[in-house]
Amino acid sequence: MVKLYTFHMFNKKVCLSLFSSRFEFLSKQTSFLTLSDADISSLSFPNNTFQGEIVYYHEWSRPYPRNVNVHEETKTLFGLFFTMNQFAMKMDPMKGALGDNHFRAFRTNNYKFHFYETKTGLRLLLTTEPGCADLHEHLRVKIHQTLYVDGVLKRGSGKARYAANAPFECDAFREGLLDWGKKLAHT
Amino acid sequence: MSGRAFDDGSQGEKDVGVDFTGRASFLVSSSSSSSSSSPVFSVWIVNKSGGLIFYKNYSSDKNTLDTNDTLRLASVWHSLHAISRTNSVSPVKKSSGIELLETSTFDLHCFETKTGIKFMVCSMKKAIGVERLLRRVYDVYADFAMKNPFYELEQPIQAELFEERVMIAVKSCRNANSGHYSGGGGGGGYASSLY
Repeated sequence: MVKLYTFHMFNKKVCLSLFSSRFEFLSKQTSFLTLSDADISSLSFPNNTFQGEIVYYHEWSRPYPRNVNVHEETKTLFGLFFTMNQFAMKMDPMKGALGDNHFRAFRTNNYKFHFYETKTGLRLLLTTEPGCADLHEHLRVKIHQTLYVDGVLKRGSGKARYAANAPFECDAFREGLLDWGKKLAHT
Repeated sequence: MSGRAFDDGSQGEKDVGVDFTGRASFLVSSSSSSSSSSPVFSVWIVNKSGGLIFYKNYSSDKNTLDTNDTLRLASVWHSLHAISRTNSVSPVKKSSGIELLETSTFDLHCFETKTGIKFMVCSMKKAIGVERLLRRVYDVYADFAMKNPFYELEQPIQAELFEERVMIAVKSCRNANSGHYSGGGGGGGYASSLY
């Protein structure tokens, strides 16, 4: 019995706008965390640079109500997984010997936060109860490949066509997600 | 509390010599691409304001983090830990902050005391007995840093005895894992300390 809380999907838009402004400068750095304080203060980001875009949001249950300010929630979540990824990369004791290091999940005493980033830059965030097993493959195969790519991107045609990595509302996706949640809850 | 823990520690220490060498050779042969032979890569202690007060690297890897990196990573972790409790991230109230971070190559276990000090252990994925190691390092901190008359609160810990005791705790964690990986007993007693 796995209890699911929330599901977020982020696109890459923010990251692109972040890097396009100072791409040459940043590309010289191996990691964001290696920037010195002087480097960081010399970077002037416009106010909305860190504002992420939530492509899709679903809520199974949420005992702690969502932040009323969605803009702030977006920023906080984006900042969290972006920093967490950099943190994991920097801290990697293998130093990339086993391939790229990615942040996959974290657990607190009462919830677990799963993270999966696709090659196209879509980020899938899922919160569940803390005892939940690794859902990396579920996010990768079931939600991204089957539900999103096959069910949303490939299905639409004409006017109903969905742009890749853009916010969307899709009943088939919603139902697929609910179905998946039910199946998971019974395993 | 701590007295018992140390008894355990010294008992563990007796077998360390034998088991640890076995463990090291086992790991080197099993993970060819990894130059590290210990299930515990590093131990960190972060004070309540996010400053790093203790860091020790236990992997044999030479390519380690420098002092600035460790300080920065510690304070970044401090902020991430706090952010994970906000209602933007947490779906449930009264979250404790991050206890375990899983990445594709390592796990980071974190234990925060009531007084806000964070103990962190960076370990191999699926290493066992790390929760126990964290509690033991906490005991060592209480006995060999806090009870040291020359230790100033919130300041970096520089005490030989403290480092020695942490090393013993780390070794006994290695021991637990060597039992676990070779499929023999030994590790059994530690499994119960996991969630």
